[in-house]
Amino acid sequence: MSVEGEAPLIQLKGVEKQFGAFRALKGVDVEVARGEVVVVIGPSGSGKSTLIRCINGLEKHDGGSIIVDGIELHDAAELAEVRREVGMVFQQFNLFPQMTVLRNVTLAPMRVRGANRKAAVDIARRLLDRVGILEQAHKYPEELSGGQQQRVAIARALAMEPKAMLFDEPTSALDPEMINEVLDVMKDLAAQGMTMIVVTHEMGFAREVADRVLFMDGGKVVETGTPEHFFQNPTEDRTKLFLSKILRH
Amino acid sequence: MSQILTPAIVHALLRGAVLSVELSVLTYVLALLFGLIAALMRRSRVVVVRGLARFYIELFRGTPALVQIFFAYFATPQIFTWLNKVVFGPLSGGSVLLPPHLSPFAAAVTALSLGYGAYLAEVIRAGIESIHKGQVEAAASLGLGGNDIMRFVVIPPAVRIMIPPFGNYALALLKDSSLASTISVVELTLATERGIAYNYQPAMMWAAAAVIYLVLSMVASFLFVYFERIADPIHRRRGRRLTRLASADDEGTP
Repeated sequence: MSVEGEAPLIQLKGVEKQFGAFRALKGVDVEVARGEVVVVIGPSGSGKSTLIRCINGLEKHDGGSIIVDGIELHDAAELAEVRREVGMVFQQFNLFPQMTVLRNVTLAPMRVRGANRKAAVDIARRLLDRVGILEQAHKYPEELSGGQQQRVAIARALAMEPKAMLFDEPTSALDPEMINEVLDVMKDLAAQGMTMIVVTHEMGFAREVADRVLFMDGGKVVETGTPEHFFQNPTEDRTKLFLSKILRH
Repeated sequence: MSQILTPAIVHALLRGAVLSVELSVLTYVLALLFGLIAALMRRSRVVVVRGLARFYIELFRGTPALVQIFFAYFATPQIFTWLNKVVFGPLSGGSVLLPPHLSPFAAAVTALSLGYGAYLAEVIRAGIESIHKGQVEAAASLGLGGNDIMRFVVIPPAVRIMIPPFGNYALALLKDSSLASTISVVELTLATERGIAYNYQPAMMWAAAAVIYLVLSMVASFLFVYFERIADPIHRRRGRRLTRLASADDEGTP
Protein backbone atom coordinates (compact mmCIF):
# COMPACT_ATOMS: atom_id res chain seq x y z
CA MET A 1 0.00 0.00 0.00
CA SER A 2 2.74 2.43 0.87
CA VAL A 3 4.00 4.63 -1.88
CA GLU A 4 7.74 4.37 -2.32
CA GLY A 5 9.62 7.43 -1.18
CA GLU A 6 6.71 9.12 0.53
CA ALA A 7 7.12 9.95 4.21
CA PRO A 8 4.99 7.79 6.49
CA LEU A 9 1.88 9.46 7.87
CA ILE A 10 2.59 8.16 11.36
CA GLN A 11 6.10 7.51 12.56
CA LEU A 12 7.09 6.27 16.01
CA LYS A 13 10.73 5.90 16.95
CA GLY A 14 11.90 4.32 20.18
CA VAL A 15 8.73 5.30 22.02
CA GLU A 16 8.85 4.71 25.75
CA LYS A 17 6.00 4.86 28.23
CA GLN A 18 6.17 4.28 31.94
CA PHE A 19 3.25 3.90 34.38
CA GLY A 20 4.89 4.17 37.78
CA ALA A 21 7.26 1.22 37.95
CA PHE A 22 5.65 -0.50 34.96
CA ARG A 23 7.25 -0.03 31.53
CA ALA A 24 4.28 -0.20 29.18
CA LEU A 25 6.26 0.59 26.02
CA LYS A 26 9.91 -0.33 25.69
CA GLY A 27 11.24 1.44 22.64
CA VAL A 28 8.55 0.91 20.02
CA ASP A 29 9.22 1.69 16.35
CA VAL A 30 6.24 1.81 14.02
CA GLU A 31 5.68 3.44 10.66
CA VAL A 32 2.30 3.69 9.01
CA ALA A 33 2.04 4.83 5.42
CA ARG A 34 -0.84 6.85 4.02
CA GLY A 35 -3.79 4.59 3.30
CA GLU A 36 -2.29 1.68 5.18
CA VAL A 37 -4.35 -0.45 7.56
CA VAL A 38 -2.31 -1.80 10.46
CA VAL A 39 -3.86 -4.25 12.88
CA VAL A 40 -2.20 -4.53 16.28
CA ILE A 41 -2.67 -7.75 18.20
CA GLY A 42 -1.18 -9.16 21.35
CA PRO A 43 -2.04 -10.34 24.84
CA SER A 44 -3.60 -7.92 27.30
CA GLY A 45 -1.05 -5.72 28.99
CA SER A 46 1.24 -5.93 25.99
CA GLY A 47 1.01 -2.17 25.37
CA LYS A 48 -1.32 -2.17 22.32
CA SER A 49 -3.76 0.37 23.70
CA THR A 50 -1.02 2.46 25.23
CA LEU A 51 0.65 2.59 21.83
CA ILE A 52 -2.31 4.10 20.03
CA ARG A 53 -3.22 6.32 22.96
CA CYS A 54 0.25 7.85 22.71
CA ILE A 55 -0.28 8.67 19.05
CA ASN A 56 -2.98 11.23 19.83
CA GLY A 57 -1.49 12.21 23.16
CA LEU A 58 -4.08 10.69 25.48
CA GLU A 59 -0.99 9.24 27.10
CA LYS A 60 2.15 11.33 27.10
CA HIS A 61 5.12 9.29 25.94
CA ASP A 62 8.22 9.46 28.10
CA GLY A 63 10.84 8.89 25.42
CA GLY A 64 11.42 8.55 21.71
CA SER A 65 9.53 10.51 19.10
CA ILE A 66 6.06 10.45 17.58
CA ILE A 67 5.51 12.27 14.30
CA VAL A 68 2.05 12.52 12.75
CA ASP A 69 1.79 14.04 9.30
CA GLY A 70 5.06 15.87 9.82
CA ILE A 71 4.08 17.23 13.24
CA GLU A 72 6.13 16.02 16.17
CA LEU A 73 4.20 15.63 19.41
CA HIS A 74 5.86 17.83 22.00
CA ASP A 75 3.50 20.16 23.79
CA ALA A 76 -0.08 21.35 23.94
CA ALA A 77 -0.06 23.30 20.67
CA GLU A 78 1.06 20.34 18.58
CA LEU A 79 -1.23 18.08 20.52
CA ALA A 80 -4.27 20.08 19.46
CA GLU A 81 -3.09 20.01 15.85
CA VAL A 82 -2.52 16.25 15.88
CA ARG A 83 -5.86 15.57 17.53
CA ARG A 84 -7.62 17.42 14.74
CA GLU A 85 -5.95 15.12 12.22
CA VAL A 86 -6.35 11.81 14.01
CA GLY A 87 -9.73 10.35 14.95
CA MET A 88 -10.17 7.81 17.70
CA VAL A 89 -12.76 5.15 18.44
CA PHE A 90 -12.90 3.65 21.93
CA GLN A 91 -13.87 0.27 23.29
CA GLN A 92 -16.62 1.85 25.39
CA PHE A 93 -17.90 4.16 22.59
CA ASN A 94 -17.76 7.18 24.92
CA LEU A 95 -20.61 9.00 23.23
CA PHE A 96 -21.83 12.09 25.07
CA PRO A 97 -25.03 10.83 26.78
CA GLN A 98 -26.75 14.19 27.16
CA MET A 99 -26.55 14.97 23.43
CA THR A 100 -28.51 13.54 20.53
CA VAL A 101 -26.67 11.41 18.01
CA LEU A 102 -26.64 14.35 15.62
CA ARG A 103 -25.24 16.71 18.25
CA ASN A 104 -22.57 14.16 19.15
CA VAL A 105 -21.37 14.30 15.55
CA THR A 106 -21.69 18.05 14.99
CA LEU A 107 -20.13 19.29 18.25
CA ALA A 108 -16.46 19.02 17.32
CA PRO A 109 -16.73 20.37 13.75
CA MET A 110 -18.64 23.38 15.10
CA ARG A 111 -16.41 24.05 18.12
CA VAL A 112 -13.02 23.02 16.75
CA ARG A 113 -13.26 23.63 13.02
CA GLY A 114 -15.62 26.57 13.37
CA ALA A 115 -18.12 25.06 10.94
CA ASN A 116 -21.55 26.66 10.91
CA ARG A 117 -24.50 24.60 12.04
CA LYS A 118 -25.82 23.90 8.57
CA ALA A 119 -22.50 22.69 7.19
CA ALA A 120 -21.89 20.57 10.28
CA VAL A 121 -25.36 19.03 10.10
CA ASP A 122 -24.92 18.27 6.40
CA ILE A 123 -21.63 16.48 7.06
CA ALA A 124 -23.11 14.66 10.04
CA ARG A 125 -26.13 13.45 8.09
CA ARG A 126 -23.93 12.21 5.27
CA LEU A 127 -21.70 10.33 7.71
CA LEU A 128 -24.60 8.90 9.71
CA ASP A 129 -26.07 7.70 6.45
CA ARG A 130 -22.74 6.11 5.57
CA VAL A 131 -22.67 4.16 8.85
CA GLY A 132 -26.34 3.29 8.40
CA ILE A 133 -27.76 5.22 11.32
CA LEU A 134 -29.30 8.33 9.81
CA GLU A 135 -32.82 7.44 10.98
CA GLN A 136 -31.58 7.49 14.61
CA ALA A 137 -30.06 10.96 14.36
CA HIS A 138 -32.41 12.50 16.91
CA LYS A 139 -32.18 9.73 19.48
CA TYR A 140 -29.94 9.76 22.52
CA PRO A 141 -27.04 7.29 22.83
CA GLU A 142 -28.67 5.21 25.56
CA GLU A 143 -31.58 4.51 23.22
CA LEU A 144 -29.26 2.77 20.74
CA SER A 145 -27.72 -0.68 20.77
CA GLY A 146 -24.00 -1.03 21.37
CA GLY A 147 -23.30 -1.63 17.69
CA GLN A 148 -25.26 1.46 16.72
CA GLN A 149 -23.46 3.52 19.36
CA GLN A 150 -20.10 2.41 18.07
CA ARG A 151 -21.11 3.32 14.51
CA VAL A 152 -22.12 6.77 15.76
CA ALA A 153 -18.73 7.03 17.46
CA ILE A 154 -17.05 6.27 14.13
CA ALA A 155 -19.16 8.92 12.39
CA ARG A 156 -18.32 11.39 15.17
CA ALA A 157 -14.60 10.84 14.63
CA LEU A 158 -14.95 11.02 10.84
CA ALA A 159 -16.77 14.34 11.07
CA MET A 160 -13.45 15.99 11.88
CA GLU A 161 -12.20 14.69 8.51
CA PRO A 162 -9.16 13.03 10.05
CA LYS A 163 -6.22 11.80 8.03
CA ALA A 164 -5.95 8.69 10.17
CA MET A 165 -8.21 6.72 12.50
CA LEU A 166 -7.22 4.87 15.65
CA PHE A 167 -9.43 2.04 16.87
CA ASP A 168 -8.94 0.83 20.44
CA GLU A 169 -10.65 -2.59 20.62
CA PRO A 170 -13.77 -1.21 18.93
CA THR A 171 -15.75 -4.48 19.13
CA SER A 172 -14.63 -5.84 22.49
CA ALA A 173 -17.57 -4.37 24.41
CA LEU A 174 -20.17 -5.50 21.89
CA ASP A 175 -22.58 -8.39 21.94
CA PRO A 176 -21.48 -10.97 19.34
CA GLU A 177 -24.34 -10.27 16.94
CA MET A 178 -23.34 -6.61 16.71
CA ILE A 179 -19.68 -7.07 15.97
CA ASN A 180 -20.09 -7.47 12.23
CA GLU A 181 -22.06 -4.28 11.68
CA VAL A 182 -19.15 -2.34 13.17
CA LEU A 183 -16.49 -4.33 11.34
CA ASP A 184 -18.36 -3.76 8.07
CA VAL A 185 -18.20 -0.01 8.59
CA MET A 186 -14.47 -0.31 9.29
CA LYS A 187 -13.92 -2.45 6.19
CA ASP A 188 -15.75 0.09 4.13
CA LEU A 189 -13.56 2.82 5.58
CA ALA A 190 -10.40 0.84 4.79
CA ALA A 191 -11.60 0.24 1.25
CA GLN A 192 -11.94 3.97 0.76
CA GLY A 193 -8.31 4.48 1.63
CA MET A 194 -8.42 5.64 5.24
CA THR A 195 -5.20 5.20 7.17
CA MET A 196 -6.06 3.04 10.16
CA ILE A 197 -4.43 1.53 13.21
CA VAL A 198 -6.72 -1.05 14.75
CA VAL A 199 -6.18 -2.76 18.08
CA THR A 200 -8.43 -5.81 17.98
CA HIS A 201 -8.89 -9.44 18.80
CA GLU A 202 -10.87 -10.01 15.61
CA MET A 203 -8.50 -12.20 13.65
CA GLY A 204 -10.93 -12.49 10.75
CA PHE A 205 -10.81 -8.73 10.34
CA ALA A 206 -7.02 -8.78 10.55
CA ARG A 207 -6.79 -11.43 7.85
CA GLU A 208 -9.22 -9.76 5.54
CA VAL A 209 -8.51 -6.06 5.90
CA ALA A 210 -5.02 -5.53 7.31
CA ASP A 211 -2.15 -4.56 5.07
CA ARG A 212 0.11 -5.36 7.94
CA VAL A 213 -0.26 -7.12 11.27
CA LEU A 214 1.80 -6.07 14.23
CA PHE A 215 2.22 -8.40 17.18
CA MET A 216 3.07 -6.82 20.52
CA ASP A 217 4.13 -8.47 23.74
CA GLY A 218 5.68 -7.04 26.89
CA GLY A 219 5.75 -3.47 25.59
CA LYS A 220 7.61 -4.34 22.39
CA VAL A 221 6.74 -5.04 18.80
CA VAL A 222 7.70 -8.71 18.52
CA GLU A 223 6.80 -9.35 14.92
CA THR A 224 5.28 -7.55 12.00
CA GLY A 225 4.26 -8.69 8.54
CA THR A 226 1.48 -9.24 6.06
CA PRO A 227 -1.52 -11.20 7.31
CA GLU A 228 -0.44 -14.15 5.10
CA HIS A 229 3.00 -14.27 6.65
CA PHE A 230 1.63 -13.66 10.07
CA PHE A 231 -1.06 -16.29 10.25
CA GLN A 232 0.62 -18.94 8.07
CA ASN A 233 4.25 -18.91 9.06
CA PRO A 234 5.09 -16.60 11.93
CA THR A 235 8.75 -16.67 12.81
CA GLU A 236 8.77 -15.71 16.48
CA ASP A 237 7.97 -18.26 19.15
CA ARG A 238 5.92 -15.80 21.16
CA THR A 239 3.77 -15.07 18.14
CA LYS A 240 3.24 -18.78 17.53
CA LEU A 241 2.28 -19.31 21.17
CA PHE A 242 -0.17 -16.42 21.12
CA LEU A 243 -1.76 -17.54 17.85
CA SER A 244 -2.03 -21.12 19.05
CA LYS A 245 -3.96 -19.87 22.08
CA ILE A 246 -6.44 -17.72 20.23
CA LEU A 247 -6.86 -19.78 17.04
CA ARG A 248 -7.28 -23.16 18.72
CA HIS A 249 -11.04 -23.37 18.47
CA MET B 1 -60.85 27.65 68.37
CA SER B 2 -61.40 30.98 66.69
CA GLN B 3 -60.35 32.64 69.95
CA ILE B 4 -57.11 30.70 69.92
CA LEU B 5 -56.11 30.91 66.25
CA THR B 6 -56.69 34.61 65.93
CA PRO B 7 -55.96 36.40 62.65
CA ALA B 8 -53.08 38.12 64.40
CA ILE B 9 -51.45 34.80 65.27
CA VAL B 10 -52.06 33.30 61.82
CA HIS B 11 -50.59 36.43 60.34
CA ALA B 12 -47.55 36.18 62.61
CA LEU B 13 -46.98 32.53 61.65
CA LEU B 14 -47.23 33.30 57.96
CA ARG B 15 -44.81 36.21 58.30
CA GLY B 16 -42.46 33.84 60.09
CA ALA B 17 -42.84 31.33 57.26
CA VAL B 18 -42.07 33.98 54.65
CA LEU B 19 -38.94 34.97 56.54
CA SER B 20 -37.92 31.31 56.78
CA VAL B 21 -38.24 31.01 53.01
CA GLU B 22 -36.34 34.25 52.40
CA LEU B 23 -33.59 33.18 54.76
CA SER B 24 -33.36 29.73 53.16
CA VAL B 25 -33.39 30.89 49.55
CA LEU B 26 -30.83 33.62 50.06
CA THR B 27 -28.63 31.28 52.08
CA TYR B 28 -28.91 28.54 49.47
CA VAL B 29 -27.91 30.82 46.60
CA LEU B 30 -24.86 32.00 48.55
CA ALA B 31 -24.07 28.43 49.58
CA LEU B 32 -24.09 27.37 45.92
CA LEU B 33 -21.67 30.17 45.15
CA PHE B 34 -19.33 29.26 48.04
CA GLY B 35 -19.64 25.60 47.14
CA LEU B 36 -18.75 26.24 43.51
CA ILE B 37 -15.74 28.35 44.44
CA ALA B 38 -14.51 25.77 46.96
CA ALA B 39 -15.06 22.89 44.53
CA LEU B 40 -13.07 24.69 41.81
CA MET B 41 -10.36 25.54 44.33
CA ARG B 42 -10.15 21.89 45.34
CA ARG B 43 -9.41 21.01 41.73
CA SER B 44 -6.71 23.67 41.47
CA ARG B 45 -3.18 22.73 40.52
CA VAL B 46 -1.81 25.03 43.25
CA VAL B 47 -1.36 23.12 46.45
CA VAL B 48 -2.06 26.13 48.71
CA VAL B 49 -5.35 26.85 46.93
CA ARG B 50 -6.38 23.21 47.27
CA GLY B 51 -5.37 23.27 50.93
CA LEU B 52 -7.42 26.38 51.64
CA ALA B 53 -10.52 24.82 50.12
CA ARG B 54 -9.93 21.63 52.06
CA PHE B 55 -9.53 23.60 55.29
CA TYR B 56 -12.74 25.53 54.68
CA ILE B 57 -14.72 22.39 53.91
CA GLU B 58 -13.44 20.43 56.89
CA LEU B 59 -13.88 23.35 59.28
CA PHE B 60 -17.50 24.00 58.37
CA ARG B 61 -18.53 20.38 57.97
CA GLY B 62 -16.89 19.52 61.27
CA THR B 63 -18.56 22.08 63.51
CA PRO B 64 -22.26 22.36 64.48
CA ALA B 65 -24.40 24.83 62.58
CA LEU B 66 -25.59 26.25 65.90
CA VAL B 67 -22.02 26.99 66.98
CA GLN B 68 -21.38 28.66 63.62
CA ILE B 69 -24.48 30.80 64.04
CA PHE B 70 -23.53 31.78 67.60
CA PHE B 71 -20.03 32.57 66.41
CA ALA B 72 -21.33 34.74 63.57
CA TYR B 73 -23.67 36.61 65.88
CA PHE B 74 -21.96 36.76 69.30
CA ALA B 75 -18.27 36.53 68.47
CA THR B 76 -18.08 38.91 65.55
CA PRO B 77 -18.70 42.14 67.60
CA GLN B 78 -15.62 41.39 69.68
CA ILE B 79 -13.57 40.46 66.63
CA PHE B 80 -14.78 43.41 64.55
CA THR B 81 -13.98 45.83 67.38
CA TRP B 82 -10.51 44.43 67.67
CA LEU B 83 -9.97 44.53 63.89
CA ASN B 84 -11.21 48.12 63.71
CA LYS B 85 -8.89 49.18 66.51
CA VAL B 86 -5.78 47.23 65.64
CA VAL B 87 -5.87 46.70 61.87
CA PHE B 88 -8.25 48.96 59.97
CA GLY B 89 -8.07 51.92 62.35
CA PRO B 90 -4.36 52.62 61.86
CA LEU B 91 -4.59 51.80 58.14
CA SER B 92 -7.40 54.21 57.41
CA GLY B 93 -6.38 56.94 59.84
CA GLY B 94 -8.88 56.27 62.59
CA SER B 95 -12.08 55.71 60.61
CA VAL B 96 -14.01 52.55 61.43
CA LEU B 97 -14.54 50.11 58.57
CA LEU B 98 -16.44 47.22 60.06
CA PRO B 99 -19.93 47.57 61.57
CA PRO B 100 -20.12 47.04 65.35
CA HIS B 101 -22.03 43.81 64.82
CA LEU B 102 -23.95 41.76 62.25
CA SER B 103 -27.73 41.88 62.27
CA PRO B 104 -29.31 38.59 63.37
CA PHE B 105 -30.51 37.91 59.83
CA ALA B 106 -27.08 38.66 58.32
CA ALA B 107 -25.35 36.51 60.93
CA ALA B 108 -27.69 33.59 60.22
CA VAL B 109 -27.25 33.91 56.45
CA THR B 110 -23.48 34.15 56.78
CA ALA B 111 -23.11 31.17 59.08
CA LEU B 112 -25.57 28.88 57.29
CA SER B 113 -24.37 29.74 53.78
CA LEU B 114 -20.74 29.08 54.69
CA GLY B 115 -21.76 25.84 56.40
CA TYR B 116 -23.93 24.59 53.54
CA GLY B 117 -21.36 25.84 51.01
CA ALA B 118 -18.95 23.30 52.48
CA TYR B 119 -21.44 20.47 51.89
CA LEU B 120 -22.37 21.66 48.41
CA ALA B 121 -18.68 21.93 47.49
CA GLU B 122 -18.42 18.20 48.01
CA VAL B 123 -21.58 17.57 45.99
CA ILE B 124 -20.19 19.62 43.11
CA ARG B 125 -16.78 17.96 43.28
CA ALA B 126 -18.33 14.49 43.38
CA GLY B 127 -20.58 15.37 40.44
CA ILE B 128 -17.68 16.55 38.31
CA GLU B 129 -15.56 13.55 39.25
CA SER B 130 -18.38 11.14 38.48
CA ILE B 131 -18.11 11.94 34.78
CA HIS B 132 -16.33 9.00 33.21
CA LYS B 133 -12.76 9.67 32.13
CA GLY B 134 -13.66 8.23 28.72
CA GLN B 135 -15.98 11.17 28.08
CA VAL B 136 -13.16 13.63 28.54
CA GLU B 137 -10.81 11.50 26.45
CA ALA B 138 -13.32 11.23 23.63
CA ALA B 139 -13.77 15.00 23.64
CA ALA B 140 -10.02 15.58 23.78
CA SER B 141 -9.42 13.15 20.93
CA LEU B 142 -11.86 15.17 18.82
CA GLY B 143 -9.66 18.21 19.41
CA LEU B 144 -11.92 20.02 21.86
CA GLY B 145 -10.09 22.35 24.24
CA GLY B 146 -10.27 22.28 28.04
CA ASN B 147 -12.97 24.95 28.35
CA ASP B 148 -15.18 23.34 25.73
CA ILE B 149 -14.76 19.96 27.38
CA MET B 150 -15.95 21.40 30.69
CA ARG B 151 -18.78 23.38 29.14
CA PHE B 152 -20.22 20.79 26.76
CA VAL B 153 -19.07 17.42 28.00
CA VAL B 154 -18.49 17.52 31.76
CA ILE B 155 -20.79 20.11 33.33
CA PRO B 156 -24.18 19.25 31.78
CA PRO B 157 -24.23 15.59 32.84
CA ALA B 158 -22.47 16.45 36.12
CA VAL B 159 -25.20 18.93 37.04
CA ARG B 160 -27.77 16.27 36.33
CA ILE B 161 -26.05 14.01 38.83
CA MET B 162 -25.83 16.82 41.40
CA ILE B 163 -29.55 17.62 41.42
CA PRO B 164 -30.77 14.96 43.88
CA PRO B 165 -28.13 15.77 46.55
CA PHE B 166 -28.74 19.48 45.89
CA GLY B 167 -32.39 18.79 46.72
CA ASN B 168 -31.46 16.95 49.91
CA TYR B 169 -29.41 19.86 51.16
CA ALA B 170 -32.11 22.36 50.20
CA LEU B 171 -34.57 20.53 52.42
CA ALA B 172 -32.05 20.19 55.23
CA LEU B 173 -31.31 23.90 55.01
CA LEU B 174 -34.98 24.85 55.11
CA LYS B 175 -35.26 23.00 58.41
CA ASP B 176 -31.92 24.27 59.76
CA SER B 177 -33.12 27.81 59.13
CA SER B 178 -35.06 27.32 62.39
CA LEU B 179 -31.70 27.62 64.19
CA ALA B 180 -31.82 31.33 63.39
CA SER B 181 -34.56 31.58 66.02
CA THR B 182 -31.81 31.29 68.66
CA ILE B 183 -30.37 34.65 67.67
CA SER B 184 -33.77 36.37 67.53
CA VAL B 185 -34.56 36.11 63.82
CA VAL B 186 -38.35 35.93 63.88
CA GLU B 187 -38.68 33.13 61.38
CA LEU B 188 -41.32 30.43 61.67
CA THR B 189 -39.94 28.71 64.78
CA LEU B 190 -39.53 31.89 66.82
CA ALA B 191 -42.85 33.21 65.53
CA THR B 192 -44.45 30.01 66.83
CA GLU B 193 -42.81 30.35 70.24
CA ARG B 194 -43.98 33.92 70.53
CA GLY B 195 -47.48 32.96 69.44
CA ILE B 196 -47.60 30.37 72.20
CA ALA B 197 -46.67 33.07 74.69
CA TYR B 198 -49.95 34.74 73.71
CA ASN B 199 -52.38 31.85 73.36
CA TYR B 200 -50.85 29.10 75.55
CA GLN B 201 -51.60 26.44 72.91
CA PRO B 202 -48.27 24.68 72.36
CA ALA B 203 -49.79 21.51 70.89
CA MET B 204 -51.75 23.29 68.20
CA MET B 205 -49.05 25.87 67.50
CA TRP B 206 -46.19 23.40 67.12
CA ALA B 207 -48.41 21.19 64.98
CA ALA B 208 -49.18 24.20 62.81
CA ALA B 209 -45.49 25.03 62.53
CA ALA B 210 -44.68 21.43 61.60
CA VAL B 211 -47.36 21.43 58.90
CA ILE B 212 -46.04 24.68 57.43
CA TYR B 213 -42.48 23.31 57.35
CA LEU B 214 -43.77 20.14 55.75
CA VAL B 215 -45.65 22.01 53.05
CA LEU B 216 -42.60 24.16 52.29
CA SER B 217 -40.41 21.05 52.15
CA MET B 218 -42.79 19.36 49.75
CA VAL B 219 -42.80 22.38 47.47
CA ALA B 220 -38.99 22.34 47.47
CA SER B 221 -38.97 18.60 46.90
CA PHE B 222 -41.31 18.84 43.89
CA LEU B 223 -39.21 21.67 42.53
CA PHE B 224 -36.11 19.46 42.55
CA VAL B 225 -37.98 16.56 40.98
CA TYR B 226 -38.95 18.98 38.24
CA PHE B 227 -35.32 20.09 37.84
CA GLU B 228 -34.34 16.43 37.54
CA ARG B 229 -36.86 15.95 34.78
CA ILE B 230 -35.83 18.92 32.71
CA ALA B 231 -32.18 17.95 33.10
CA ASP B 232 -32.90 14.49 31.70
CA PRO B 233 -32.84 14.91 27.93
CA ILE B 234 -34.80 11.76 27.18
CA HIS B 235 -37.68 12.48 29.53
CA ARG B 236 -37.75 16.04 28.38
CA ARG B 237 -38.04 14.97 24.79
CA ARG B 238 -40.70 12.36 25.54
CA GLY B 239 -42.67 15.05 27.30
CA ARG B 240 -42.40 17.27 24.25
CA ARG B 241 -43.34 14.48 21.91
CA LEU B 242 -46.45 13.68 23.95
CA THR B 243 -47.49 17.31 23.90
CA ARG B 244 -46.94 17.39 20.18
CA LEU B 245 -48.96 14.23 19.63
CA ALA B 246 -51.75 15.60 21.79
CA SER B 247 -51.88 18.86 19.89
CA ALA B 248 -51.72 17.02 16.57
CA ASP B 249 -54.65 14.99 17.78
CA ASP B 250 -56.60 18.12 18.56
CA GLU B 251 -55.95 19.49 15.12
CA GLY B 252 -56.94 16.20 13.52
CA THR B 253 -60.30 16.03 15.22
CA PRO B 254 -63.04 17.44 12.97
